[in-house]
Amino acid sequence: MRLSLSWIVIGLTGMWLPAAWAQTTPDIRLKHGDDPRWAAPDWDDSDWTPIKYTEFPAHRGVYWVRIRMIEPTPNTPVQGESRYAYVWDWPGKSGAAPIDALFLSSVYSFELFLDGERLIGGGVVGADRTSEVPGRLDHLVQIPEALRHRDSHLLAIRMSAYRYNFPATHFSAGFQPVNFAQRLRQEALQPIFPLMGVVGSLLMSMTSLILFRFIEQRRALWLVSLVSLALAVFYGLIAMRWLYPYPSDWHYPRLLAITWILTGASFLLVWLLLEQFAVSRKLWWLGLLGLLLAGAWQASPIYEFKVLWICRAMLVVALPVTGWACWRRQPGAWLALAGVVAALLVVRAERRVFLDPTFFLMIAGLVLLVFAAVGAQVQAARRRAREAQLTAARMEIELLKKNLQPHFLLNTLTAVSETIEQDPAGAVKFIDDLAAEFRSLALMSGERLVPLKRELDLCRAHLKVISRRTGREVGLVTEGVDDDSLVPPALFLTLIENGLVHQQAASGAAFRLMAQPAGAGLRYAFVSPGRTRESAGRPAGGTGLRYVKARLEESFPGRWTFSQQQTATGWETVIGWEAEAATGGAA
Amino acid sequence: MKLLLIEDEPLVAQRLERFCREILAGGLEKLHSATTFDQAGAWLAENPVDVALLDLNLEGQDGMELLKRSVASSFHTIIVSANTDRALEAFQYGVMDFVPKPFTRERLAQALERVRSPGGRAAFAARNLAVKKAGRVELVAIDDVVYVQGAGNYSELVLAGGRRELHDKTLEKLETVLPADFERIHKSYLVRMSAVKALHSAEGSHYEAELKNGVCLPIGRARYKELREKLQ
Repeated sequence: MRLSLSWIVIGLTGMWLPAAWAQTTPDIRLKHGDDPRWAAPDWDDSDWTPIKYTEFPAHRGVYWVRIRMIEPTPNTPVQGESRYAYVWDWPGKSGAAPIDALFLSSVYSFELFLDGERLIGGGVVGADRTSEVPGRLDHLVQIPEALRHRDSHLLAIRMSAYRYNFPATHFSAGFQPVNFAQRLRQEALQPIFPLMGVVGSLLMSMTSLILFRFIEQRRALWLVSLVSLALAVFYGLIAMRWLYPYPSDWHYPRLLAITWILTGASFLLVWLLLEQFAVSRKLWWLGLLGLLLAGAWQASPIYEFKVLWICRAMLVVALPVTGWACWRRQPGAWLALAGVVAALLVVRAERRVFLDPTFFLMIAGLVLLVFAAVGAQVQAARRRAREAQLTAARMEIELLKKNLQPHFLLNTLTAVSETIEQDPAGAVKFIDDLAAEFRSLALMSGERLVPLKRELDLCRAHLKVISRRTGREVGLVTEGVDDDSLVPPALFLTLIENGLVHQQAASGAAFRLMAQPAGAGLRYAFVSPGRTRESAGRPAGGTGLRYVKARLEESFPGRWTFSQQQTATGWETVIGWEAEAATGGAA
Repeated sequence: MKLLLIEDEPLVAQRLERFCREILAGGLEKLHSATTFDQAGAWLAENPVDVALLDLNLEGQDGMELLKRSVASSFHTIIVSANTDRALEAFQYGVMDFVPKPFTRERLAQALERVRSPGGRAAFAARNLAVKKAGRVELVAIDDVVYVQGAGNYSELVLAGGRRELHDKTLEKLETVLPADFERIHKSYLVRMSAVKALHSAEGSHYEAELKNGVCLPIGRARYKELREKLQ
């Protein structure tokens, strides 16, 4: 608990105040009321109430606090880290920049006196919330030359804390002796990392948005854009402390906003990973993350620790997600996993504060690697699409060859020749049927998707020609199909051709096409009637199946399914696809 | 002549059968149609056949395996197919002719004539001979064959190195598919002329061909003069 409270000081003041320093400064005394004489170093405060540095009251009227600061000698027993400020940095000690200033961050209104001399004020101390005026949060004030070389100091603070907006009734306060020039430089450097984060995140957000709009409408890309935008706001709120000297009563709402923004960014980041790697049961994972994030908010009253626990909660969910994606050998998954593991290493210790560069590097690195993983996926998807297009082009030629190739055509012409001699009128119909098939094919050969009705017309024309050639009547029946729905050209024709080759269908049998909605897409079951000719079943993939799969990948990249099996009535092929663009899925 | 038609499309099979009956007329002893390779195999196992008319693509199945078995058998094979791109390959296995679809009666008659006429030869000489060994078919490169010895209803291929392979075709049928370099020097021998070193005449009007590998083969009396002229 003591450790946590010490962090309150850090949270409120933004500086490192060693707990041991407070313990070795036994003389913090408080008195309610208001008397300017209480600033005097020799004022008798023996009847004042001794308090700890964590026991500054809020909302309790005007009061004074007197603190004795003693310069330690080399023989002074020093506990813990308290030694660093006093022993090494106090004037007169060799090698260190001299202490010539005080730095404090105040969530209260005050007037500060050092050895009886008024150094600085923050806002207007008031007896109620109306009369109290908040001042700036951070203060750096030089110690007058005459006061710098004393062995001991008396710090007297007149204060009121009606504008302290945190839920607690008491707060901690710290006062840090510093070197003025050093501290100025330090304060000037503080916003660099957050500002870099703002610029980088905005750039990433815009880039992702542009990629989403013009290159690839992938949900993961706009999620990257949203995450980056949230992080830009997050970094902006952090940088705000140095860029815009806001009143001290804004401090609590600002911390609250930072924590909420990071919570949202964590949620979006995990959602992004779930989308990116097409993880099933997304809601389940997001629910788990929600529980962990709720726990993170309760893990500590200190907002820096809340942020740390939020990061841990997010990473704990991200680890199995990216690990699973790696196991499935998804493109770019190892990049995301590397980012998650590195981030876990960074947040394993409870020493992080907003200003720590490693925190910014961790967040930026993680998002960059996830973005790179999205890029790798987009690249893989585009490569797959290109290959599919090439394959589809080849398959289109194969398809044309299949119908115009010498074998099909010459066999048909031989049959036509015989029919002319046997039955001239029948030969004319035969030629009409052949022409109808070629017309249907010519209409769709350059299309990527065609209405199902045209596809069915082509199938029926083909079956007519085959029936005339073989003397076996084989039909095509449909159930629940929508004639206007779009399908890749010659998809079912190819299944019919395969069925004619591999199945022994009796005359009068019929192919069956059944359609049913499947979520946002469609699912078709196609049954080729008859017994499979090969005793070992159908071959796993010939030209026909390669054509079907290439066409599906071309039209529905990454979101189609294909399966086939022997059934009691024949050979069933089930094809499904999602209608809308989305990531994930595969055959 | 005994014919076997192997064709899965009824209209084409009807056309083949009609043409064959018209062309061969009284010379046709028997004609059987099969629509699958299995049916054809079953028929061949039980019935003697002189010529098989084979489609290379039956219901999408590749007929090359049956072709290899067919050319390894005692009968002649004529391919009737739309797969003209495989004609050269078919000839390499020793088919008598390749009739492309769609076909006319005249073209089919030309193919059948190669089988019917005594001096008829394949449209293109074979480059391999298929031999049946232990239930499977193996290809023997004709370039490796030095001479062929008749053995009743079979023939024996003698290869460079002395290895011998039995072939189901008679010497007469093999002669029709082998390249022109092979000469019938005796009623029981077909010899690659490029393998002959010299011809010798012995006492009693006996003639011999000495091969480059030292083997001596008898030469028919009526063939000696013609062979000597060819060698010179």
